[in-house]
Amino acid sequence: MTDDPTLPPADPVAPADALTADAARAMAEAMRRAAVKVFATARAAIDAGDQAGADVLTLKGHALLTTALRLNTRAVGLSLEAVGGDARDLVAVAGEAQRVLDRIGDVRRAPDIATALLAVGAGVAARNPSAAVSGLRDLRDAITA
Amino acid sequence: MQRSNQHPGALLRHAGLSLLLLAAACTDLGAVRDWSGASAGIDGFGAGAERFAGRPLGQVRVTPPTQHQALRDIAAMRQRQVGQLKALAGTVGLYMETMNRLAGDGVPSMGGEVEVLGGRLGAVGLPADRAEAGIGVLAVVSDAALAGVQSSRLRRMIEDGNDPLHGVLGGMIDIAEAFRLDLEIERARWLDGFVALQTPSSPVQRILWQDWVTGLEARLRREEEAADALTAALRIMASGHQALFDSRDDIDAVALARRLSDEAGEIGRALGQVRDAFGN
Repeated sequence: MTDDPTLPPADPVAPADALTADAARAMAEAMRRAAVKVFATARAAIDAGDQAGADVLTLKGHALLTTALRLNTRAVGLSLEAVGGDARDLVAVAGEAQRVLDRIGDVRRAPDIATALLAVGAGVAARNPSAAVSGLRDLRDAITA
Repeated sequence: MQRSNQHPGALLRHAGLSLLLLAAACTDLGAVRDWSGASAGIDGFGAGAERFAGRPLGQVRVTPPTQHQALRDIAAMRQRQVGQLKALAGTVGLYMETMNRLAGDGVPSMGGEVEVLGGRLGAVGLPADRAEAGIGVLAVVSDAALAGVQSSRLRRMIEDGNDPLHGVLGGMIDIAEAFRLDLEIERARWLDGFVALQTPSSPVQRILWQDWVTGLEARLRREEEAADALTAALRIMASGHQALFDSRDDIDAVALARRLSDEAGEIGRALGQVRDAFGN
């Protein structure tokens, strides 16, 4: 029975597809606030000499906090689900940039890069800007290939 | 001499091209380097995730037995989330470290390879004197060209990474707010649901009790401030990257550099506070 104060309240967590992370966190916060009020009432009961009443209220307050923890856990799970695609995309972007960095670092052993550099140097030495620019384009392509 | 017979326009084109290449290589990315370096220290998020996972079991001592199994179940659920949370922080860390390397000044120099390459300039049909001049030019041009490619790749990374980074940082901000809320729940459990309901019976007990409560409050406050600092750092990272994206074609602009330098300090201090409170 949900009226039994010694039992935790029915889990108010809705199915995952009907709940957002923000909503789950807001519900958890509402549970926390409710628990603080219940504990304050329990303290008042103790001061009034009603220990049995205070015990019931204390159980209720803790049950509310446990539900708040569960809701907060759900909120984190929903946030994780929501960012999965973006995280994969971000790793791909970083991986591509690292590949270029590695290629630049390995430039001395890459014949196509050396050839492209040679073309840039030849273009500049020959006072031929279009050849140098074309060489630069080849260089960029060689590194990012 | 042949050099004195050169057309002034050709010399200007030569100088202009070299200057263009040098300009590409000389972009000052120090602020980007500092900013991304500070942002890469996001490992405190993973430590925060460990704390988050352990929090339900830490409350068992002050919770009625009827709640114990529920707390253990929640702790188990959170333990399954820890790996994903750490991976999420690792994703941002990897992105920032890569940006830091791209903005780094460690571009490899062609060094002695230039001599070898320059020697081959004659083989492409250049007169000997021009081939010799080409060796000197190549030494400058080759390193500048590599630096230019690196700098252009940085712009591309910022362009491609902006949307997914905002998505990931947005999720991490939500999660950091959940860390914060969890501490408020813990505060309610310990201080409202336990401490406030006790009545120490003797003056000595009251003194010891108060000391213990003071220590507990200090620990909670320190962790709450760290959770706030984590949220703040993530927000600064999101807005800073947006500024980088907006200025990606003028990435070494003075105003942007000043902003990024300030933010690097703020991020570094905030993430240091997170590591101090949650560990690494």
